Amino acid sequence: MKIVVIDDELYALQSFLGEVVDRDVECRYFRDDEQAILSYIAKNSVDAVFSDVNMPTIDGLKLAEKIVDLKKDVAIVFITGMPVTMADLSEKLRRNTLGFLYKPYSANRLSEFLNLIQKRVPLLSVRTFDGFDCFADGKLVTFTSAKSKELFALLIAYNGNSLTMTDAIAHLWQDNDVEKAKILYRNAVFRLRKTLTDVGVDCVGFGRAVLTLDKTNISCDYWDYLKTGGGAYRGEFLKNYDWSIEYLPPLDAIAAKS
Amino acid sequence: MKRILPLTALGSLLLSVGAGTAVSFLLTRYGQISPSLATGAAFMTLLGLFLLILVVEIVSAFKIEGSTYHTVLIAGCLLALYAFSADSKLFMECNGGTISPIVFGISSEIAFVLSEACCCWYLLYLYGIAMNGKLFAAVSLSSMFATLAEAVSLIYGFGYIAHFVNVGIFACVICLILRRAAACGKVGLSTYIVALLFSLSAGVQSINTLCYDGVVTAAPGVTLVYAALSLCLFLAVYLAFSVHADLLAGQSDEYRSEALSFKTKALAWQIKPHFIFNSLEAVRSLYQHDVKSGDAAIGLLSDLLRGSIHAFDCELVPFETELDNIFNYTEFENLKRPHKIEVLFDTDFTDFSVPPFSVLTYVENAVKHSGVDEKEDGRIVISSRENGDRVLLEIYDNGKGFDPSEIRGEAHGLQNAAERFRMTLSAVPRIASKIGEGTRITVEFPCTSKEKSDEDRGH
Repeated sequence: MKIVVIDDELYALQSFLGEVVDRDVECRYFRDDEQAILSYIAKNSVDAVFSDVNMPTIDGLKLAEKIVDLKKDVAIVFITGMPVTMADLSEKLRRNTLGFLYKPYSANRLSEFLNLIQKRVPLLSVRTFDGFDCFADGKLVTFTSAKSKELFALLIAYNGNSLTMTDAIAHLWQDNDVEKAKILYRNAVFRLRKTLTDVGVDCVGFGRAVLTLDKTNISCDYWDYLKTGGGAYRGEFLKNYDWSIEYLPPLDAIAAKS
Repeated sequence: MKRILPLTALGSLLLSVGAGTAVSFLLTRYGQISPSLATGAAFMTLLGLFLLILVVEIVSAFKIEGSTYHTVLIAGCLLALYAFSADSKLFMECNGGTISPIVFGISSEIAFVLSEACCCWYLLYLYGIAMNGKLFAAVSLSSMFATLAEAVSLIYGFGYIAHFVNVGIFACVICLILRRAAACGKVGLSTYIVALLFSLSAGVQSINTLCYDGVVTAAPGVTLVYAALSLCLFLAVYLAFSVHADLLAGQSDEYRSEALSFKTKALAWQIKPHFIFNSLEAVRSLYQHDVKSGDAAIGLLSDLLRGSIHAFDCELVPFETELDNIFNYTEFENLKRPHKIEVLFDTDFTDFSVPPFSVLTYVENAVKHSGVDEKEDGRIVISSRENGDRVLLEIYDNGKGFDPSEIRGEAHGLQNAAERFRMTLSAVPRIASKIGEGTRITVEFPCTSKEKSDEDRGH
């Protein structure tokens, strides 16, 4: 994949390089030479342009319009420190613009855009034996609360079956009274949703008082073990969570067979 | 309402024309009153008053901001109409002048048509109704032809027929305008007064034409009565307009100044310098501790600052955007704190809009003053519910609590948030707090779908 990056500030370009270096991406950097940018884009096949909006000598939005005139299908991502939104763009630009990478941007946001351009869905790998951890494209997912992480673990343990609010409360918040438990459940759902959106993973269906899991882009050691019996199960499954005990007997049975 | 209004206008018009003709007819038949000195004096006084009003109108149109030239034109036309009335002709003749009834007839008719046109125009202006261009052309052309026809037929003594065509045309137009105004629910006292004024000048001109055509013999004092009534009504229109204009001006002034102060306060939030410097200091120490939490803090802080700049342009944002801001703020606060604050998002329902940084202001207040981080089971809950077609929004904590009667003075932020809820959603946040038990802020408002908010423009 070939992308063009336009930013007048050297340090911004450098941090961009750091993020994309381990991907299969051919990156071409420009600072503020409009003629050079346009002639390069005209001569080469470019998948996407990442461009700053406010530069001393070039107006990023106008430049983007010229680029769209040259290449109809090029994807555009604006790198900006200001709260520019789709509403500030012309009709023509909106069609090609994927979104905005606000400075200072995180590796996650950048990866999301690169995934979008490559039309690649990020792979979530889930580790349940021993402790519980998730990795989106190899990067550890940080949950914003312990309970939202535990809720996701329960959803993984449910193995594709829908998880109702009542079930979730029975597992995670049985010590609280009903009203408080519902509040805690909804809070965990809110935070889980936020975490998954941040890493660009869209695998959970958030219904009214029910959660569903789309297993398509998730690899999970527990599921593999149930199917094939191969893996690193050593008698411990989601060991931080009390409710995991009920899942141990079937796992032990598989271990005993092999 | 829609039907009654044009009917009233039409009724008062017919009544006025009919009564005028009848009075004039009876007076000529049963009592030949010569234009005495008294009528002459009254005539001159009224003419003088019309002139005075015209001068006042012209001066005020130039000097007073927000006044309108429409009333100047009405005053001028009424003056002309009265100056060429049958009374005026009689008055002249008594003092030895000879006046052609055709010249007087046509002059008063032109003044009449213009005064009616001004009344219509004024009504259109007052209620902000746009007039159909074709209709406008049709009306002006036909009344022009009617006036021309009247000039010709005055010679043969039946100019009144063309005059009644003119009256009919304008009666239709006025009815049309009133109907439109009533459909928009904009009818006020001044509407009725203008309609009456229209009827009266139609009456006075009807008598004029009948006299000039010799159908009735001019009775002194008839047009005088009409003119006096017109004068009173005109003053009433003027007063009604002034009150209306004052009201509008007052409203827009209030709105403008409040909008300005909100912007100022929003700006004050954005660039609260101590918040920024404290935050930068916190970020630095986080980086020294470990790079990852420093990165997280930088991300949250810049999202929060960007959100506050964006908020500056919007009156309302989707509740989800506000939740993002709250999330960024509370997560950032928690990075800095040794004792984390538990913030619970009990937000099942998010399909509505709120003023940007309004809910956050209440959360910020709870973070700073409730002391929930020092309490074993301390927490702040943000809760949103759908209650029929209303939204029930609550921010509550189980912290220290305070005496709500003592929040005035320093609590600019809270007042600002409450004001913005009032201005944008007509909602009044209620604060309930008990010392030792916590604080609960409740806002209830009709559910406006988030599509309406400024942020979704063009998405």
